[in-house]
Amino acid sequence: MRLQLRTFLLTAGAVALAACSQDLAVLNPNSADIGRALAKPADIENLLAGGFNGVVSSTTGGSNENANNSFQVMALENYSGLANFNMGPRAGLPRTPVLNFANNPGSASVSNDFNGLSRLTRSVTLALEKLSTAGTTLGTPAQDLRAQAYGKFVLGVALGDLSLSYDSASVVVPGGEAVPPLVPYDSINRAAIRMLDLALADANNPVATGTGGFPLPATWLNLSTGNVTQAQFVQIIRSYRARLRALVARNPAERAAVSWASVIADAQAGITSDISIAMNATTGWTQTWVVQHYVGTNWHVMTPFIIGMADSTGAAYESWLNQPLLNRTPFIIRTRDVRFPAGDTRAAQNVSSNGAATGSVPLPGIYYRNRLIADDGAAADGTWGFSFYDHARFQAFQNASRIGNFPHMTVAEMNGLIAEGAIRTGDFALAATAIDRSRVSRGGLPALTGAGITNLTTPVPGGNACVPRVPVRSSAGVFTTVCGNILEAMKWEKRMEMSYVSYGAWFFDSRGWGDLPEGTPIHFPVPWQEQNQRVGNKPSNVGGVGQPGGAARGTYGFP
Amino acid sequence: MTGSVARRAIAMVAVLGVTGCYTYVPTTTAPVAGADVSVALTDRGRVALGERVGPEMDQLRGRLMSSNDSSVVVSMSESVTLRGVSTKWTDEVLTLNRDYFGSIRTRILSRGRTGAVAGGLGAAAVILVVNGVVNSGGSKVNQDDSKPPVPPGGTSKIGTLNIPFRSDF
Repeated sequence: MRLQLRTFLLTAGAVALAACSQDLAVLNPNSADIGRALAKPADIENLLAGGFNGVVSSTTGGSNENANNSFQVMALENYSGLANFNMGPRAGLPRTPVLNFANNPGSASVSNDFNGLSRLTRSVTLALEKLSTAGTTLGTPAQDLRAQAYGKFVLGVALGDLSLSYDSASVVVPGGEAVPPLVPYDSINRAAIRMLDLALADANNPVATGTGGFPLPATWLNLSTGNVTQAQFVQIIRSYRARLRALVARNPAERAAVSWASVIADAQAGITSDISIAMNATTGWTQTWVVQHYVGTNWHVMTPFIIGMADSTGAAYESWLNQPLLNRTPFIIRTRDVRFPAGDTRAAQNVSSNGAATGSVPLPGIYYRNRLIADDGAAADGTWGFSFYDHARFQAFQNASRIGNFPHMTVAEMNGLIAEGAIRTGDFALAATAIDRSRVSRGGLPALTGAGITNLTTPVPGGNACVPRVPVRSSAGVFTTVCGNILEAMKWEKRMEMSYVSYGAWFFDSRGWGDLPEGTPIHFPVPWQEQNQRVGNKPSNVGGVGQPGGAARGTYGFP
Repeated sequence: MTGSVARRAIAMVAVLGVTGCYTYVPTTTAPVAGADVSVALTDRGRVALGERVGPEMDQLRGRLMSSNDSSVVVSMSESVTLRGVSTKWTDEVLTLNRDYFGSIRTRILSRGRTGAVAGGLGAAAVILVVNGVVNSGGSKVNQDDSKPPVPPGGTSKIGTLNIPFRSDF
């Protein structure tokens, strides 16, 4: 009986304890809690306010293990044989694919921009969604509109940059799916343009200039000019819209199909002076490539492939083009373009560079330095990548520990877009005017205006000393050079003025113009980590000669 | 190509062309019930309506059924996402709070585009007639309309005209 009673009591106790139990509920303060993080209006505004910094940090700033450094070598804007940042493999000729499988050595450069920009679209979307909930206000209607305009601008630029760099990505926008599907670049670009449309509508709303509204606080874009007025912001939005509309093209056919009337209209209503960011690593604003650029020729040297077009004699460049790829003799570029050092010998050009020694600042207006022989370093190996020239335009910025103003978007870029649109729509006079703005004043080259150019067969003025002098490859593979037409003059100006300035400065243009070496990957794949989660482990390398995503043999016939 | 087939083809593209000549314009007065409208959603509208009309929505289009100070009711015929993806709807009725949208545009016949398309079609017709591709209406080149000539390949192929459609707003 006693045993039975004990058994009963134990069982009853166990049942009672079990019945009274409940799941242990402990608040995990490390778990993301969006509601708590954005509980106060100031939280929403603060999250949005860092948006543009997120764009810069994910593209031209932040880590050097990024896509931009690859784009530079892929577009012949830079040459480095180093494996760092996977530049060497990306720079190699003939071109090889961007590999995209687990733990491949270049995966960090593929994933950096994708991850950063995608994260940014999510955080900005969360802030915009929170701001749109009933009863939520930052303080005044003007302040709300300013934040919405800025948030949509950031979203448009982030999506736009994804559309430029990747074959596909997710469109994360307010009211979108929790896990949006991967969609192709043209689809992303349409969403980006639409977000900029909406940003423009909010920025142009007269209410946005009321109490608490425009200007944008200086830290939001961190421009060298401080606060950004409503009018300036509208110009910046329109400039970005022009850029993204034009640069998304993957080949000449897509470039030709761009809405050039829209591009011209936006570029003409865009920025009227260069906009520069006040860079300082301690405040989180960086132009990250610069730190490596000026280390030495292992990291940066100008291959003659593109800058050789400055060779006004034509003969030296032509000879170089016809030498075996791995056994090319560097040559003196003698040119009328005053952005290059003057002189017929290396020693003379050392002097006119006024900064031939590593670390010394070139004369104002000189973009390229003919370095001292002593600084040639190990890169003087006779391959196609080597030349006597370095891009030294931003040496002073480097010498100032990269604290100071660095151009982010230039009027020259807008002029280039206007000129290209004008050429494609038959307005050669407008194109000549736009090109001459830098061609004459900065390049010291003969004006196109008044030269009677009304087609694409007339060479630029300059006679035998013309710039640019472009390669022509025969069916037998022999190169000659000829004076370029007005389209080539536009390309030349854009390359000279945008070099090492903006995201994919040469790459996105060269892709659309059909100027990349054959087989160059036209974009990056979705990083394998994301791809495996989405669609499983499938082959997704991009590019290589004759391979999917590889550029066709281009305008200049480069291998 | 026989005359009647060509006439039918031209009639078809003409109808399609005129359909494509509509455009949405900002309203200067409150749209009346029955008007064809395009509603541009706000972020709030996108979030609130996501479950009913789908994600990423930009524009909702349809016939305005009623309107008051706090909402409008639309019989939906089309939705367009921020990526420009268009989806047809079959008159589903949707009530939109005023804070769900930023603007309403009404659909009108675009005189300029209609004129351009009509002019283009007219010119095309003249060219076809002049070149003898289409009989002007009297005697028929091929007397047997019911049996179009069969090419050596064994199939009968009718040429098509592509008229670009635009519905800017």
